[in-house]
Amino acid sequence: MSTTFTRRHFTGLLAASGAGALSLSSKGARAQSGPIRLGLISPLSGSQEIIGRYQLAGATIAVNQINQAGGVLGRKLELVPRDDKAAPAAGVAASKDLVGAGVNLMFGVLSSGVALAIAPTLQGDNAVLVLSAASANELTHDQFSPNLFRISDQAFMRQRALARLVAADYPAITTWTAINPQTAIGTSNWDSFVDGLMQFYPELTKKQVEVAEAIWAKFGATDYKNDLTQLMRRSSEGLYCGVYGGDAVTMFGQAASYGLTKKFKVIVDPGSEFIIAQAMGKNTPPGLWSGFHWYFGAYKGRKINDELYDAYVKQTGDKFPAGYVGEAHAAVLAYAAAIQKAGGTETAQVIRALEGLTFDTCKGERTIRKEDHQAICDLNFVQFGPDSSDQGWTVTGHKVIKGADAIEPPTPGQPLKFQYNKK
Amino acid sequence: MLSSIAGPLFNGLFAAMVVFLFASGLTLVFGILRVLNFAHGGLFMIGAYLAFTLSGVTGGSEMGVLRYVLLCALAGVGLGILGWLVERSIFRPLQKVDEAYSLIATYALLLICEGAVKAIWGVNFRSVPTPPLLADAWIAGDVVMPVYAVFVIAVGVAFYAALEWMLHHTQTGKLMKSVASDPWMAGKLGVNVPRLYAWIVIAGFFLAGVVGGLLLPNQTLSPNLANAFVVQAFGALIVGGMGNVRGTFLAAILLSVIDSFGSLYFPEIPGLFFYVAMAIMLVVRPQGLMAGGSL
Repeated sequence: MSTTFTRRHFTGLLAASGAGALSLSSKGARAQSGPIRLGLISPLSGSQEIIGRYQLAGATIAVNQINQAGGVLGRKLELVPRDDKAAPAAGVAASKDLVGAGVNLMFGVLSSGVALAIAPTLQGDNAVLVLSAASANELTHDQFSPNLFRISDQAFMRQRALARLVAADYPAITTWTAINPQTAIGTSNWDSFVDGLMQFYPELTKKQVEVAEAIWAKFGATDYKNDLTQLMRRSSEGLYCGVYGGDAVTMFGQAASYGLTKKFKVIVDPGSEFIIAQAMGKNTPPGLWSGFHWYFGAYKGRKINDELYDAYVKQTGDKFPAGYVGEAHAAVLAYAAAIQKAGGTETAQVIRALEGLTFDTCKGERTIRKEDHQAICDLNFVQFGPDSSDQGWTVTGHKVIKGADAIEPPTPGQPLKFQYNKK
Repeated sequence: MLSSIAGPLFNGLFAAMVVFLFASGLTLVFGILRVLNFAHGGLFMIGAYLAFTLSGVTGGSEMGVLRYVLLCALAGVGLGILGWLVERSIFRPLQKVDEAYSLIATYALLLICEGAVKAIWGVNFRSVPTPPLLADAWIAGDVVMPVYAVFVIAVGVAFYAALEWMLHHTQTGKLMKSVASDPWMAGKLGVNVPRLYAWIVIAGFFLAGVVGGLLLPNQTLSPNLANAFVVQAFGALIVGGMGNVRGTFLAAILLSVIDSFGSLYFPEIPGLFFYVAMAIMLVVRPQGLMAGGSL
């Protein structure tokens, strides 16, 4: 059984991050001496607190590592966390609070809704926000902001990469359906996956793919029986389970009686990471593929990866860091590289430095495109299955797909155009 | 044809019994004490976590039906003890002040429940599989009826029958109804009202604990579980007639079955029909389905 991330670890991280020393000196951060203050906007309470804990852990480790190596431009980094509760209004309040405290360099944000709410305020506040999780396509397309960057993957490239994976590894599975949450990101993910299926099956297998109508479930549903009944009537062989996280655990738990995992030959999910396996143990759906922001096991032997993993395990006791840890860590590294390159922390300087920046992270080098501020980075996928160990599950495989193979051309200010019409 | 009616009907009945079981303790406490217990979801969640921990202590989450039922009962007993403490420390002092204070107090209790769950069990998701004997499904045509769902429907009906019998055919039930109707007069006639109140709170908490354990294989454990059925339960409570057990039972069935058909035939708006049905029922019968007397 893995050690879980407890409140004690979380409180320790908050203390270590300097949350106790949040003086409201508006001029301090812009001074050319003293620590460089980086604001972390993350859900540190509420329903998404578990993710906030991961982001805080990754950011804290990065700050500590950089400070131990001498800081940036001879100055230490200081982390200034703020709670966005995964709610847009609270996110904007957190951003304004940081700006008011003189922190112009911000990062984090889990919820795309929060990111979309903060984005229009950045220019007026003369601040920069580096996203390390929010994945809505709009953020680097029709809602593009010159002060907003994203160092993590977005929905389109992640889901297209997943489609590429299934086309390459399961060429015989040419009929697909889905169960998705009735949310904007649920729709966006599914559209992106279908777009990938339509492109990669003909390209890689010379076969056409057939996509059946998706089942749309209520977000946060407690009962999936009607949805499962409909799914069991589908003749498709591949299932895209857009329902993710705790909802996916509930859905798969209820699906056991229906024999869902026996009916579908391949099941993929957009990004539950370890959640399903850790919650379901021996009842983990066999062969389930899950999208990851960062899977540490794929980069063993890589110095940044190994040092981050070791530091995380030492700090929390948890042996399975979620990808959010790696992405928050990478966001701090992006700022460190940009500040070093710019020679200062002024907003305009940092924006110029971030544009086109190539920097090293736990999952390899990333390059932030100058045009739309979207990073080209690896896409990670992990396959799970039950086993006879105490924890009841194991990683049965993993894949790394290069971002360049899945990302769309930059079109900042323009809505994302899908190449194929979904059925 | 069978599947297009029987399938959503069965699934709606399952959802109804889940809502009724969740709301039963809530209804009992409101029906007699007139306390709207906002903490009920938190108590249900603690019951589920307690059953989860007990399953680990007693041999793991893979369990037979007998151990599962015993764990539910133990979770109920644990919550019952908590209910006794809460009644003495919170509910009893608040009986002498305005009802608004009890709302604030029970909301505070909900926050304490959520905080306690995070502190004790953490924020990670957890789940428990359905006991093997209940894990199969019965199939009629292309209607799939999980045995676990049949079990929950049976337990829901049994709970309802037991509550009805207790309230209307036993001395205790008659005393409860008299206290619910006029506590002052009942007290003057020799009923020990404070003691009865205490037992009602204990029973309400006990039910929350039992139902938390009962629904454990059907849900994912997380600190958000407290909110899982609260809206539906309050909906059934209000439509049923504010504290009437029979009304809550009927309202839970009507709302959940309508929602089940609605979600099936209008999949683009899942979950909306529960609220639409609730609104229509309140317009047509604002006093509730079984108004005219509590319980």
